[in-house]
Amino acid sequence: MFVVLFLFCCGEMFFNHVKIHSFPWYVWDMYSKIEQVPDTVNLNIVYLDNEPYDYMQLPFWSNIAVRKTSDYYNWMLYRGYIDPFAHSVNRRTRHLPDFLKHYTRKRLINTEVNASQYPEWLFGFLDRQTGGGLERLDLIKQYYIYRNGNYLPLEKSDTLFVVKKPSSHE
Amino acid sequence: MSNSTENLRDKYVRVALVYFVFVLILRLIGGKYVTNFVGQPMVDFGFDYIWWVVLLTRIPDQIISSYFYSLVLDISIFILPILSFIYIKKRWLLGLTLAVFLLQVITVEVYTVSHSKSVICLFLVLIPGLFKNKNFLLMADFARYYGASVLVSASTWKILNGAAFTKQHYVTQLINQYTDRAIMNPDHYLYQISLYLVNHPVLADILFKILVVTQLAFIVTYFTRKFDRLLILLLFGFSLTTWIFMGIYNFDIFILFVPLWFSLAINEEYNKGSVNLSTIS
Repeated sequence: MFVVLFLFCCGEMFFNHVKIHSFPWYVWDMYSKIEQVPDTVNLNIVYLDNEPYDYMQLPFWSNIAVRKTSDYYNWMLYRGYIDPFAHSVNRRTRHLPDFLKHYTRKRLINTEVNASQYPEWLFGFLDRQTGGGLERLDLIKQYYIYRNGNYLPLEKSDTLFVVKKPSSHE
Repeated sequence: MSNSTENLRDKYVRVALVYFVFVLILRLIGGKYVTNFVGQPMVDFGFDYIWWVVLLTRIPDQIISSYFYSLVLDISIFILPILSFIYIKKRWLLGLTLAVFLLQVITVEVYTVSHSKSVICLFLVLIPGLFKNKNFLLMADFARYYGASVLVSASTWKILNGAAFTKQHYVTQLINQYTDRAIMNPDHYLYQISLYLVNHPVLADILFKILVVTQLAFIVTYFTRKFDRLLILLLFGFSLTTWIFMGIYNFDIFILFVPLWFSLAINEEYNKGSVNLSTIS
C-alpha cells in the first residue's frame, strides 16, 4: 500500500511539473496567474423568441453548460469546424498503432457533424428549461468594450445560428 | 479486523456517505446530472487521459444518447450510496458507488464542456472505506494529508505566481469572473457583492490575502493533529466564502472534514497498538 501511495505522490509531482490536469492528479493553481482586464470581450447572448434571455438564472451547472458549450461551438465555427483540440489529440496519438490512432481520433475529435447538431440540441435544452413553447432561438456573439467599470456593447455582433421550431405541418 | 478499527471505519464511511448524498442533492438542484444534457453532441475531454480512455469505450456516448440510460445512471448514483450506508459492511457496494459516480462525472463533464477538479476530494475521502484494518487507517490518513496538500498547493501557487502579492489581483479576477453577470444580470446579488469589492480594492486585497493564509494554514496538518477540528471551521469558511464572493462551487472540497474529524480517532487506533505501524506494508 505504501508503494501505491508513493507512486500516487510521484504522479502528483509529475503532473504538477508539466501542469497537466489528469484525473486523479490536478494542478491547484486556480486564480494564481496574474491577469489583465481585457479592453474588449465577447459574450454569447441567447435570444428566445427575439427577447434576450438571461441564462445565468438557470441552475448553476445548467447555466455553465450553456455558456461553455456555446463557447465551444463558437470556437469550432470560427475555425472552419476544426476542433480546437484536434492538433493536440493528433500529436499525442501519433505514436499509436494505426487502427488505434484512427479510432482514438475519431472518438475524441469533434467534427462538423457534431457541431451542426448543437444548435438544435441547445434549442431543445432551453425549451425544456423554460417550460416549453419556444419558437425561436438566436445565438448572437456580442462584442463589448470595458470602460470605467462598465461593459458597453459595440455595434459589432455575429449571429452564430438561428433555430426555429419546425412548423406542425412539416 | 479489530472491532474498534472496524467500528471506526463504519462511522467514517457513514459520515462521508451522508455528506456525499448532500453533495449529490446539491448537484441535482444545480442541474449537474446526465439526464439534463441528453443528446448534447459535442465532447470536450480536455487533456485528461482517464477521460480519454473512458470515452474510447463509447460508454458515455451511449449514455448521453439515450434518455433511458441517462436516467438509470442518475438514479443509480442516489440509490447506491444509500445502499452502501445501510449495508455498511459490504465494501463492494461502496466500490460500485464510486465507479458509477465516476462514470456519471465523466459523462456530465465531457458533454457539458466543464471540468471540475474539486470532485477528486469526494473520491479521496470515500476510497478509504474500501479497505479494512490497517489499510483503512493508512488510506484515511492519506486522505487527510492529501486533502491538506490540495489547499496548501493552491496557496503555494498563488505565492509562487505572484498573485498573493499583486495589488488589484483579486479585483481583476472579480471583474473577469463576472463579465457575464455584469452584462446579463447586474442586479444579481453575487455580482453586487463582487462590485462592492471591486469598488473597495483595499478590502478586496485583504480578503484575498486572508484566503491565501487560510489555505496555507492547512500545512499544520503535516506537523500536528491538534488543530484538525479547528481546520474544519476554516474549510467550511473557505467553501462558503468562495461561493459568496467568487461564485465558485467548493462544497466538494468540504468533504475533507471527514478525515480531519476522525484523525484523532485514527491516531488513537495507532497508539492503542491495534495496528503496529512497523508491520504496515
